[in-house]
Amino acid sequence: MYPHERSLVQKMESKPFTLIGINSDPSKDELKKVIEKEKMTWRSFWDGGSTSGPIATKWNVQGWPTLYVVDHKGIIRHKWLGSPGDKVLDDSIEKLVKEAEEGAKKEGK
Amino acid sequence: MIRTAGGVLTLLLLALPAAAEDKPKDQPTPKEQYQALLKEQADAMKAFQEAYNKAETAEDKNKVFQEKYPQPDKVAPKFLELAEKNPKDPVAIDALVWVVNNAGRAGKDSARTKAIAQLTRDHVQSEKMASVCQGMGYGNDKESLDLLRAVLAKNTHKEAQVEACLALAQRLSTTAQIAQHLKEHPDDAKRYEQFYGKDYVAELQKTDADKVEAEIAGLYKDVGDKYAPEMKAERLTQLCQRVGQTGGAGAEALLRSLMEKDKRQDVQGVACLSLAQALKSRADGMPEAKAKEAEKVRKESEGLFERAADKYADAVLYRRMVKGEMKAVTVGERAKGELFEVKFLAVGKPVPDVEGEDADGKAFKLSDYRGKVVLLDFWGNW
Repeated sequence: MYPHERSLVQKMESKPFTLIGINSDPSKDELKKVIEKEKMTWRSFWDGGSTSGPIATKWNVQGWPTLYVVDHKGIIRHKWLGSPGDKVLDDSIEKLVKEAEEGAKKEGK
Repeated sequence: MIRTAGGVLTLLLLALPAAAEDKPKDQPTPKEQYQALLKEQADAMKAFQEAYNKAETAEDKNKVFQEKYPQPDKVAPKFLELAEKNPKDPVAIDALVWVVNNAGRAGKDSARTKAIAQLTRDHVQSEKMASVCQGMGYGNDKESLDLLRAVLAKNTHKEAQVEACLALAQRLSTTAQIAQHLKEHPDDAKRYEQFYGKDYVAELQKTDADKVEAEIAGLYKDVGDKYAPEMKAERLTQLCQRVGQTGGAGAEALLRSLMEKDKRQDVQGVACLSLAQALKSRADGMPEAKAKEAEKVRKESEGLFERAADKYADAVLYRRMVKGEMKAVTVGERAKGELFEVKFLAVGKPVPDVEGEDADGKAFKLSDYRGKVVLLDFWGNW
């Protein structure tokens, strides 16, 4: 998943988009190491060191990765257990990013 | 390969001098051959694990996986050959069970299909059929269906009976679902043919879904009436979860009866939760046209989640390792999670805020990014 995420984040650099992780690795140090090695430029919440961390438990996450896509207004627009595939993911995000850009234009006027 | 096997055998012979004495060194017994195959596979797995753990990036890990992962399908023919050459030896069944439980590749000439056929022919009454049947809830091959029916007809061990009932019910549920779907959407037949092949789809189109449902209901009724009262709570709660995941009218009926009739709190609680989950996924799968009915089912599911969270909060769902300690996951916490998900995490709802710290210990919030599209990714580096 990382290489695709890297290119997605790169492609969307100047757009109203951000990737946020919620990480279940055992320690912050380990998380730091992975972030460095995999050249992750995005932030992750560290979820207490296990898959039964407070965020994952509250959100009833039963498998990893679990993905949510939230639009610019804060509404949940998609959720997937396991990646839906690079194309579906990119297309859904691009569509919402367009919505966000159009929304920003309208507000600007 | 032969050299490796020889080396392994020599070690085994040294370790088992008593067994080795009355055999010439170059003729290992079937049991020794079986153990050598197991060791060969275990060694390859260990070497793979070590290399995998050493690999640093995801790309490296992927490469190690491609090159070193000891595909069970590759060694399966050796296990099969051992069983075929020594059909009367007690080790034959172990070798066949290994193939069925490890080799995934299906198809007429696969080791898996041949092993299933041989098990059906020679070993259908064995106690070891329980573990074989357990893995047969998925797939669409005729051979494993024949095996399940043969076990139900001829095997007298209760565990094997239960596993055969569950797996057959699971298989038939898939059949009924697809048959029903094809009846409602005949245009999808082409798409299904790509997955399942023409013959199987043609068979599904002729299937009478009601008849299949009746058979499923009978299987689950047997599980509830004949076996459940004697089963240990821990085993029965596992069963409830599996039945809930399969879903369908028969599954719901079994869970309902366990929830109402079983005397044990843990069983009642897990049955209640599993029934709620089955109803939820049934509601999620209903088409627009049935929105009203879906709403009713969803309501009932939520009521059951509330009841599970309230009445069975401490019932044990399962136990798992968390940071080196066995920890019970309870019905209560799962039910609360399910309720939270239903109420606040559905598509179309405003996302609840997340607060926490990043890898550097810096606090931040999901809502800091309002105005942007956010991909929220629950992940771990494993």
